[in-house]
Amino acid sequence: MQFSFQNKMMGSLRIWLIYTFIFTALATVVIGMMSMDRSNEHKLQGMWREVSWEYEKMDTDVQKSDGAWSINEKQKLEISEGLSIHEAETWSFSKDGTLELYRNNQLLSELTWKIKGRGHILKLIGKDDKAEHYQIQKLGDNLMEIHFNTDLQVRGIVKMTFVRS
Amino acid sequence: MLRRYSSSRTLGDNLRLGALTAFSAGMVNVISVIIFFAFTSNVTGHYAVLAEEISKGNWYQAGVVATWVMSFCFGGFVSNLVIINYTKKNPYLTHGIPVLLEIVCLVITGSYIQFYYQETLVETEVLVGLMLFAMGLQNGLTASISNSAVKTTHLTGLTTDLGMLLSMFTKKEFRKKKALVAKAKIQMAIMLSYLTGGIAAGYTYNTVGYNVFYIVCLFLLLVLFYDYSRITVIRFMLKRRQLPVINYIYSIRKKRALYSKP
Repeated sequence: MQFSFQNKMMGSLRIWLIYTFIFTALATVVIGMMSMDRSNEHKLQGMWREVSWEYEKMDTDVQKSDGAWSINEKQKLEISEGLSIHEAETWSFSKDGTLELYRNNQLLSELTWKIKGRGHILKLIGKDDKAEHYQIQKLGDNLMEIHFNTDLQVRGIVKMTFVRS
Repeated sequence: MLRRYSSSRTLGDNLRLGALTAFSAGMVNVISVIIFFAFTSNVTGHYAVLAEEISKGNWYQAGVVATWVMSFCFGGFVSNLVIINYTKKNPYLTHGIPVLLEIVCLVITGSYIQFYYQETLVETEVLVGLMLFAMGLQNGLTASISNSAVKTTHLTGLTTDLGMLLSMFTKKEFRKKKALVAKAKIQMAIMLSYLTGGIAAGYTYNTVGYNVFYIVCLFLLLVLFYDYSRITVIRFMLKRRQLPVINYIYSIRKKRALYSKP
C-alpha cells in the first residue's frame, strides 16, 4: 500500500519536473531570442532621411516613360496630399514619442508616433488627432522601409525607403 | 450549456455554447485588431508570422509572437487541467472556472486600456498575450466539454469541415444522417456568431470605445448564469415537490391514476 503511494508520488513529481523543464526551456529560448535583438520601438528612434518613394501599381504608359517603379516629385506630392508626412524629407523620431518632420533643415510639423501590433505598425497622430498607419516592412540599423496603402490614382501600396542620417 | 460533459451534451447545449462563445471571440478579435493591430483568436496566422520573422532574423518580434502562441496554448492547458481534475466533483463550477478566468483577463485588459494605457509597444505585447490566453481558455473549455464538437476560435478547421460537410450533403445518404446535420448546424452557428460578434464589436467600439470589453464580459456572464438559473429552477421545483401540500396533491393524483386503471 505504502509502496504504491510512493510510486504514485514519484510519478507525479517526475511529470511536474518534466513540465517545469519544458516550460523553462521554452522561456529560455524566447528570452534568448528577444535579447539578441532590440524592439522596433528602440530601433526606430533617431533621424531618418527619405531616399525613395515607389509604388507597386502604375499605369502602363507611366511605367514605360519612367522605366522604373519610382515616383517623381509631382506624383509624390499628389499621393501624400492630406497626409502628415506631406513634403517632409527627414523624419526625427524622439524617445518621448514625438516625430519631427523636416524639409531643407526646416521644421515642417510635429507629430506623435506609436508602434502597434508586434512592432510592425507605425501609427502617426497629428495635432488634429487624425491617425495614419504605416506598415514597417524592414527596420535595420541603417535602413527602414515602410508601406502605406493609397486609394489615389496609383491604386496600391506605396513603399517608402529611409536611411539613417 | 456548461454543466453537461462530453457525450451527455445535447445539440441545443452545443449550439448555445458555440453561438455565445463564438460571438464573444469574434468581438475580442475585432477589438484587438482595432486597438492593437494584432489578432487574438486566430493562431494560424501567428504561426505564419513567427516563421516569417525567424526567416527574416527579426528575433525580438519572433520572440513576441512565440510568446503569444504559447499564451494561447497555456490557456487551453489551464482550461483542460481544471476540467480533467475537478469535473466529477461539480461539473458546473469546474466548467465555469475557465469562463471566470476569461472574464478576469478581459476586465483587466479593458480597465488597463481605459485608465493606464500609454500605447507603448510593451503594453501592447502584454495585453495581446493576455487576450490570447483568454481565448485559449475559452477554446480549451468549449473543445474539452463538447468532445471537440465546439471550437469557437478555430475557424480554419471549422470552415474546412463545413466545406466537406456541404459537399457530403450533395448525396442523400449523408443528408439523412442526423449526426452530420447536427454538426453542420453547430458549425454554421459558430461561423455566423463569430462574424456577427466581429461586426457588432466594430460598430459598438465607435459608440462606447473601450467599454466594449465589458460588453464581451456580459456575454460570458450570460453563458455562466444560463446554467446557474436552470440549476436553481430545477432545485426549486424539487423542493416544491417535497412540500407537504404538494406531496398530498401528488399522492391523490397517483391514487386516482391507480383506480382509473382497468
